Amino acid sequence: MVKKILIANRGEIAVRIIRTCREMGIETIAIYSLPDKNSLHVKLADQSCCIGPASPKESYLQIPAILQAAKNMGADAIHPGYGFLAENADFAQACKDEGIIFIGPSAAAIRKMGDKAEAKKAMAAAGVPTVPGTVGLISDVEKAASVAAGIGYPVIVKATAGGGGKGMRIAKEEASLRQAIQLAQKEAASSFGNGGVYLEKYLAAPRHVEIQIMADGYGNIVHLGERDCSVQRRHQKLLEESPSPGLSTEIRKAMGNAAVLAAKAVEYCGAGTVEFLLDEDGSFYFMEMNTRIQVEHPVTEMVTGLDLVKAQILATVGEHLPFEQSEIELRGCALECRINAEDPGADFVPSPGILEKYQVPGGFGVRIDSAAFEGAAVLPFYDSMIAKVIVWGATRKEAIQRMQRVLDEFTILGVKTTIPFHQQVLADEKFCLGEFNTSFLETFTFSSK
Amino acid sequence: MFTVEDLREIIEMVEKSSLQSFELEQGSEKLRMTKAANGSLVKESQSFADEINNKVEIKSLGNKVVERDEEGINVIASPMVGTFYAAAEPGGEALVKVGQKVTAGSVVGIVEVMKLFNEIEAEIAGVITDVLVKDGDFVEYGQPLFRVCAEKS
Amino acid sequence: MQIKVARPGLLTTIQDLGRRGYQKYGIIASGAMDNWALRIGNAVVGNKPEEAGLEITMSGPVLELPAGLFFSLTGGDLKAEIEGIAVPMWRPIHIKKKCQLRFGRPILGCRSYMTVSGGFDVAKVMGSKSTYLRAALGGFQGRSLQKDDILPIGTSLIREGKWRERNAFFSAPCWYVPQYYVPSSKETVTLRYTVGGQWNAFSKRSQQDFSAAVFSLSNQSDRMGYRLSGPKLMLKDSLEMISEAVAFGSVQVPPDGNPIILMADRQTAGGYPKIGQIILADLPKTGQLAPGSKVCFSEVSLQEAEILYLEQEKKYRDLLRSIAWNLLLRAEA
Repeated sequence: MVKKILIANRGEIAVRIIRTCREMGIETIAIYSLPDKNSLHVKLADQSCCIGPASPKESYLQIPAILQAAKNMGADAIHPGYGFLAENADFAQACKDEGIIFIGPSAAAIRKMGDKAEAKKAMAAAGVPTVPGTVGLISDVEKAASVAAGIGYPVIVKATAGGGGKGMRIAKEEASLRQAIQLAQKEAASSFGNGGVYLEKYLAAPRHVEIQIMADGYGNIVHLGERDCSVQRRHQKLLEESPSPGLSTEIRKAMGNAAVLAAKAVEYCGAGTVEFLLDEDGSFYFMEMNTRIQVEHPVTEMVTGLDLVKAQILATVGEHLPFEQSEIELRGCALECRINAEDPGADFVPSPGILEKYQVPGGFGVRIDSAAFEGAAVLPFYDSMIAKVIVWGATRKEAIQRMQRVLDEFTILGVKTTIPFHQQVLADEKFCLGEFNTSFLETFTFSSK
Repeated sequence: MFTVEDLREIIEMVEKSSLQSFELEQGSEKLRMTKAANGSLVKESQSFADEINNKVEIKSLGNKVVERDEEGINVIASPMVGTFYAAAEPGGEALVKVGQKVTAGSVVGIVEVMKLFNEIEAEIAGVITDVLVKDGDFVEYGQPLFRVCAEKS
Repeated sequence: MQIKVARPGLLTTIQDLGRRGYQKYGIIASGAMDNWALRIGNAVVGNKPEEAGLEITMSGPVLELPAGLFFSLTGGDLKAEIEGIAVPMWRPIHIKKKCQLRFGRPILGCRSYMTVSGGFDVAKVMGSKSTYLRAALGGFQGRSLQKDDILPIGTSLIREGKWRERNAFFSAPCWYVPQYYVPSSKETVTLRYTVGGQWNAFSKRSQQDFSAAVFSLSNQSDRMGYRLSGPKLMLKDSLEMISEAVAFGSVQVPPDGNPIILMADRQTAGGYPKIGQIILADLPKTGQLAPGSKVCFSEVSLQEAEILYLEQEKKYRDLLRSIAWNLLLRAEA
């Protein structure tokens, strides 16, 4: 069992990981950039090390500095959290080379799933349903056109090294396909340094449903149900829930099995999430696999009653999974709202500043995951998340009501927050009925009154 | 030490936000930015020089000072995480001693990070008054290494 | 881009890691005398390890460097300077303004390696750019550099990162690869060896002498081999030997009893008895010896030799990775 873990991250996820480590009796090392000196994660850790200035490139992404700190301070393992180096295969490999356990899957698994075209090929080979499209990258526009004709328009051209909505172009008919390919390639090359693109059937308004999986090094892979993350703005998730109002028991089972197959195909170890697109007719397709613990993992923790960070640590340090598939049961309904320091009335422009007043709500079925405290600064260098508000209810209706009550109670002054936005989404009729998909926010209007 | 890349990144981030003014103290350096009166967001990013001239007024204050002292004592802080060496070779003579004169380009110590050696330069002209670390010490980013009495200019 | 040779220096040749796969036809392997220095030199300028560099011996050349050049100096310290300013070693240098690179007296070791980012654009002969002087093979027209030679260079593979502007002529980063093995001419250098194929043919006295005495490199020491003077090493009885393969670092003893350490331009097969084999991990150090250098030998087991070699190669891979982080990160200008 590891004795000391260095957390290569900051903010709420660093706090989250440190909390579980403390419960497991594992010592913790926090790293921080200069402006993060007084952060909560630094306060909670047993040891800390300043690794650089504000810029993430010079601090939280500085692989040599992080590895050197881990070595000098005696860390057995490094937990990368999410974002930053969490899906950097070189970093995972470097940890291994230095004899430090990387709390995550192997560099090979990260690499395979990080290359979208390769991942899709591997999934198709493993029997996981994938969106019909080109096999591998587009090299010949004529071939791409014939594939598109075969699957039917509209089609979407996507960057293999991409994410976050960049390097994508939709083509509604053959006439606009050529340009769509060119534009996507150009954007992909400049955004990700890799201009490779592939083509897929475009699903106009699917649900985004992801399955949480957990795997150990002994071949045990378990799925822990789904999260519906369809409420997205420009491919950024804002609100997540489990179970998904769009899933029947049969589809849940089928998706869970598909997710396990996906993880098996890359000999996965640790926590992972397989993202699917769920079409209106109930068919689902593999979209991508996130080879890390995700922001919205607490949603699954609330409905399963299981500590996913603990399971992840145990699995990656060589222990067996602390649970079996038969033990996994989803109870009730959980909802998560990401409260960001952004102004929903001004196109969600980041609103950094000092939290002059920060009063946290509580009560039955309420969980707040945050590194914020009164007087803390929300810095412009990193993501603008202040807190994750997660509620549990016996029914979806109860969960929504509870979330409304909690958001009403949550007092944050000094920065603009997205709380009013979430309150309006939760009051939306379609949302309350569970009738929504990834196009929901496109037609949703926020009233900034 | 703020570089052109740092400043560009910081300006972009402040620009994209709703902040009207922004002040950052980083170790011994201070950076203050205020937006032009109309505070409007720039949709297209212009050249870096334009940003400085038209939209943002930047004042870069101070030099490598961690503790400010009336007598002008400055501190040389470590620019990286790693193992500090006082000499260029193991067992060699220390690069600087108390009382030694240094110039901005003088190499005052070495920090080893993942097998590579990094020369730490004084960046200030003056006389070394204190050596705050030992050969072989693990140092953090920003950790004070030496105190220097600056040359009166 | 190109480098012009204003003065050729004592012996400046293009060398890579050697001509492989042709020794069975009698083609000499050649290559850098200090392959650690060449590999590190290539790494810091973003080149592949087998890229060719300049091997600069003892008294260095005067080279005209073009603006925009990325290069590095590794190996022996021959007091390189640009327009009077000392050039830091074991790291990449970026030339800002056309200037002249000169060398002074050797301070440490005797062979310096100059690598350029993108490599030297000369033809490969039998898969290698190494120069074999005796057969006028490879390198720059099969010979050492001469005045007015123009060396073409490939496209640079790196960009400047957060480097210090040292002066008007060049900038360089603060990081460098620490050197750990280049000997100064004052010290007696210990070379570790495993017993040679014909060790048992030597008299007990000679075996003892070999591992205890101090030898010095005679003036007949060059890229082909180092002739040592010291106690004469004698066989127990006369030996009838069929020529067999020899390696870089093989120590063979001709009838006159003065051992020869075979080096980069060694012959492919030898008929003299071999008393020892310098271990791989000590070959770079050996490549930095010059006439007059004092050496002594220390025996290690084959197992120890392998461990030392693996340690060295692990160190090399670790350095390669650290260099790549610094070059990669810095290259995102």
